[in-house]
Amino acid sequence: MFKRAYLAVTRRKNKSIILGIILFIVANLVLSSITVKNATEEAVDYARASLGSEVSLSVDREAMRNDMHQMMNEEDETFTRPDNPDIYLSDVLTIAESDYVIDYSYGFTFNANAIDFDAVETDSTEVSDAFGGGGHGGEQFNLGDVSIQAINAFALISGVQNGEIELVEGEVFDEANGDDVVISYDLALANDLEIGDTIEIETLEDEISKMFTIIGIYDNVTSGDEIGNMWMDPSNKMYINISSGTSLLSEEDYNDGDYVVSNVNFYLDDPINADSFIEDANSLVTDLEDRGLTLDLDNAAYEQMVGPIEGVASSSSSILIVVVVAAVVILSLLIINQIKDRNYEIGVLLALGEKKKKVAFQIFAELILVATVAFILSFGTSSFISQRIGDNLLENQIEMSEEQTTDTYGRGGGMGIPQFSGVGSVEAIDELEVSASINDYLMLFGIGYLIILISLILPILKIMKYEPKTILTRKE
Amino acid sequence: MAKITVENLKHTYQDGSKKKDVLKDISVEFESGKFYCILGESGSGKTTLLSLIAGLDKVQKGKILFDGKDLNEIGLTNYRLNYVNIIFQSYNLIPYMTAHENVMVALDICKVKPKNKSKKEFAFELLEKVGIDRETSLRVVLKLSGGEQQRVAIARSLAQDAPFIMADEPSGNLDEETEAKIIDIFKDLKKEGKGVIVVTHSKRVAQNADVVLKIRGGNIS
Repeated sequence: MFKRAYLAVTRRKNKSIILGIILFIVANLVLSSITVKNATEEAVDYARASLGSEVSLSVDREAMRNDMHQMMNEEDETFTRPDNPDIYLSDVLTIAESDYVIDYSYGFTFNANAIDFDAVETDSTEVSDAFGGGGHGGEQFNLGDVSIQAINAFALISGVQNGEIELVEGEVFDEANGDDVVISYDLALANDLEIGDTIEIETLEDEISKMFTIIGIYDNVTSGDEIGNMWMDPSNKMYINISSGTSLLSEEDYNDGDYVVSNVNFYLDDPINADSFIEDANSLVTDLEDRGLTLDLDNAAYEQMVGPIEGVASSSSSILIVVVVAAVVILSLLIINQIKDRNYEIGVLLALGEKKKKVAFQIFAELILVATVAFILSFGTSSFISQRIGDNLLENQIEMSEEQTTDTYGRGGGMGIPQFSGVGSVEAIDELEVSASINDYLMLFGIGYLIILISLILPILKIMKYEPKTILTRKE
Repeated sequence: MAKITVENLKHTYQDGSKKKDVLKDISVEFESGKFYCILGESGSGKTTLLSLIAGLDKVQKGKILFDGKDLNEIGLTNYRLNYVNIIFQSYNLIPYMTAHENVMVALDICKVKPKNKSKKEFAFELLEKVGIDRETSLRVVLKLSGGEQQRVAIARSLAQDAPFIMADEPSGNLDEETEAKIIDIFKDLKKEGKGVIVVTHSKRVAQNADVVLKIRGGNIS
């Protein structure tokens, strides 16, 4: 039977070649779909591993708005604006115990007066002074000269993560450091300050003053032409260790160590665990919702990075399905047609006493033989084809996502101001390294042989209906 | 001695809305070691009778017994495989194979295991027996003459050592000289103890047969 199959394939060359070409095309498309899909999955895994995921704990603004609407309805025109709910350090530390958290950041921001140095003055500062803003000579409200952000880890400041600010000199602090400060390059330049120098600041309400040693100087990569007070000028922003920050809090604000914090972010081990983490966090601190707090997943960077590539994965899966279905239909028709041509031969075999199932198996063996050659040949061409398919799909997806982004800016920006997601430093994956592995080749054989098997169902049913006499007398 | 017994065989064909009784009531016996010839006009039912006794078609009414055993009981595929060899007018060779390969196919299907020789050698011997030399044996059958193809078909039918050989118009497409050679082969096979049943129009074939059966109007006369 195998010898017959071999003879049928090698002696009926033209028909075998036609079948082989079809199977070769099918193999290339199947293998390309598999490799592109796998390459995208690997890229997504890489993105997940390299980016992680960020969940912020903040005030539930939507719930607040709803409360305000309700209050307006109930009390007609007069209502009291609800206070912003507070996030306490104990909330952060409790949630940080979740297994999904690999790191977390928190801090608080306050304004202070510069004692032995001058804040950077900009044109906008002068404009704001005219409106009664702070500054040395401010007589109305003293809003301070500088903005100080006390944080548990400099590296986790959103500006650092986004690439908006970067350290140009010195080093940064961590929780173990003492009274160190990282100041801006402009501030250092304006006051001729260097690493190791000290500066003194004083809090506004309690007038607590403290000396800080400059250990690092950062630069603003993005310039901020903000209209406002001096403390709003990015150059007048400085960063200190959280423990130093707490020493500047009043006893009441310090609250026995359970002080109010802001800018709370939790960094997860894997973006895929975000929902589980939020569930976990709500079980660890059960009254978050009642207090008007919410945990929000910030997957923007992840989405921006893998968005196009997920589209490619989806497209490659669709291509695979279309190829398999089309291949089954085309092969079924081709095999039925070839069997029709071989009616007489099949009749002869049956007349000689061959069993129908063996005849069917012979046809299957012939297809497997041709398919195996076609599949092996496709190894040489599929890498080129799959790279082209992958590149084209990715290009289309990037174009689509760019169009969508433009639309979003057009709608949501208002006044021509684009809506920045705060993920400017993250670039979408715009290149796919597509290469087939042994597993991909094995999968090709699995899918390919399955296609053949399904394609043979109708032809085999046809063979099973054959009666040798009918075939042979028709020939007569 | 093997025997095929046909009892009250009736066969009908559906021709559009009409039914046509091809075989009305046939009873006949065939024995191995004899050369039978079935004669009849076109459409008389002789090929239908051959198809039924060769196990190529199912019996509608009546019985066909091989050594007293009903063909349905033996199984038609099994019957064709072990008890009869069939030769058709159009030779029914597999066109893309050589003469030798065509015989080998039959040897494989019938699972013949020749004594003291390989299957390949046995196939050559069978072909030589019907006058096909080794060189011709290795040619694709489509390149052989009609007479050569018919002899290959006979050689293939001999692959299985079945007690009966049945042939439908084996010399219909052949010239007189080739027809004579084919008749000689059949006579040799009869001498070897095989039953040869030939459906033909040829008077020459009929003259060489031991028993001549004439079918007319669906009955044997």
